[in-house]
Amino acid sequence: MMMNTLCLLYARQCVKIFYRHYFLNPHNNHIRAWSLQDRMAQELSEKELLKMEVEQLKKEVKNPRALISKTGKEIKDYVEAEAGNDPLLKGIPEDKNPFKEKGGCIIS
Amino acid sequence: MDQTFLVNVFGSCDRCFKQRALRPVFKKSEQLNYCSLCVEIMAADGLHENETLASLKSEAESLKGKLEEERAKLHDVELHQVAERVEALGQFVMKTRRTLKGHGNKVLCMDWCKDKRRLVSSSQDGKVIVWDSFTTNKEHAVTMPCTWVMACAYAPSGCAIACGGLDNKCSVYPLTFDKNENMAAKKKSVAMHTNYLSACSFTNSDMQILTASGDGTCALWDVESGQLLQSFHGHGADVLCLDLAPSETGNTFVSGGCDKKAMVWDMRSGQCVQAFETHESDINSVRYYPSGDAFASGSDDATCRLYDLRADREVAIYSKESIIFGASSVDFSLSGRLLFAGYNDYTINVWDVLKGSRVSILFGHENRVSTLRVSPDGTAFCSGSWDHTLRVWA
Repeated sequence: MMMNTLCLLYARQCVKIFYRHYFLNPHNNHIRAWSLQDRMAQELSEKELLKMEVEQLKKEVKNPRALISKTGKEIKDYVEAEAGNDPLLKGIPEDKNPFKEKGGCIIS
Repeated sequence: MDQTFLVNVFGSCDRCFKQRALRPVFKKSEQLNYCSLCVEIMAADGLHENETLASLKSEAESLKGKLEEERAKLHDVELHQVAERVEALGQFVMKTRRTLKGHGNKVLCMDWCKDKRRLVSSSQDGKVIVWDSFTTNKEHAVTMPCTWVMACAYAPSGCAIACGGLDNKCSVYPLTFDKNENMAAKKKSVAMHTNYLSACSFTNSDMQILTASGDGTCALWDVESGQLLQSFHGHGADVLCLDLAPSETGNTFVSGGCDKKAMVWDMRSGQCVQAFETHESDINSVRYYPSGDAFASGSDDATCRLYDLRADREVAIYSKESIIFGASSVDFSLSGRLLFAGYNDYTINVWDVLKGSRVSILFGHENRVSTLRVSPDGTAFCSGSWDHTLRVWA
């Protein structure tokens, strides 16, 4: 009777180790155990989806933010700095344009 | 006189399996029989469940309200007000310089090679073609085993291409100039999704690919082993597009989907960093601003919008009352001053990013424009359309 229980416990332990090795083995990615994170949105219950949404929103509220007058100015400054290098903005003379009609002058 | 009787049916309850008087309960047009005790217990559980659901819903609503409040605090000026002093743009003359003909069906996606002259395009009939845009020659062609190849990408080294679509996979083909080699033979299946592949992109090296799928997830894969490195869950519907941040700004990418949300993800942790939900319909295309501090999106609601990542809000809307068809793809010029957007009404609109006005409208395609990319050095841009052709404009 004692032996039976011991054998059962041993067998259970072996199965656990086998499963752990099998499922967490990176080569078996296609059948790894799905965590809550991995289950598709359609599989989760409404409650679980809402919980995830609330967690995410809590994180997002804490994000650092800057005023548009500051960040917008940085975008404008970037554009003005790079405008000189923008071929589509200022146009390229026909002879330098690699896409001009007759053949192409390739600038490497 | 008519009288209605409550018939007492005795039998085994579907929940506790004891022999009791049963009451029929209809659940989704299926009839189940429960004893009155079980009915009471379930009603109490249901009430509790509803309470938790209701409290979660109200918590979510109040958090969303708080988020809006925080974002509104930074809305001190409009982008076009910041750009008031900037010189207005003159007339633009851009015309089709090359027309690439060869696809037998709708062109769905295209990507430029880093060498600024080659590009890869994929179409509905399963063909993926690599072109030399200067000469319009086809350098490689491969036929995928599936139709609707909605995503294709060129590897940074120029030595491979990745593509996928209705086969739910992303396959990488090494490009070889050996005439005797069959490209399809060296194909490597990298990504496996449970629904169609809508977008794919190599990261900074040939070794990793980022994919977006109709199953609502994005995933990062190792090309060599095919192993899933990271998965990104959060979209409530199909993800239609993605774009990686320009390398200087770090490991993030933005994705847009049918749930009208654009989400910014951290590639290392798999967490969503920011989410924006101001579009009124599916987001078809997202593209990072060249500096990496903002991104633009094009949607079926006929507008393109600019979202500033540091101000954490939408800062500009590019729309006109006369534009009623959805924008399928967007891209910035090199300096970020111009936003090119391809629409389903067969046109390409060029917007002034800072001032919010339309600079030019380009005609030429005979069916909806499905994809649009500016070349790596900014000298030209290429648009692909359902009229089976690609056009290079400069």
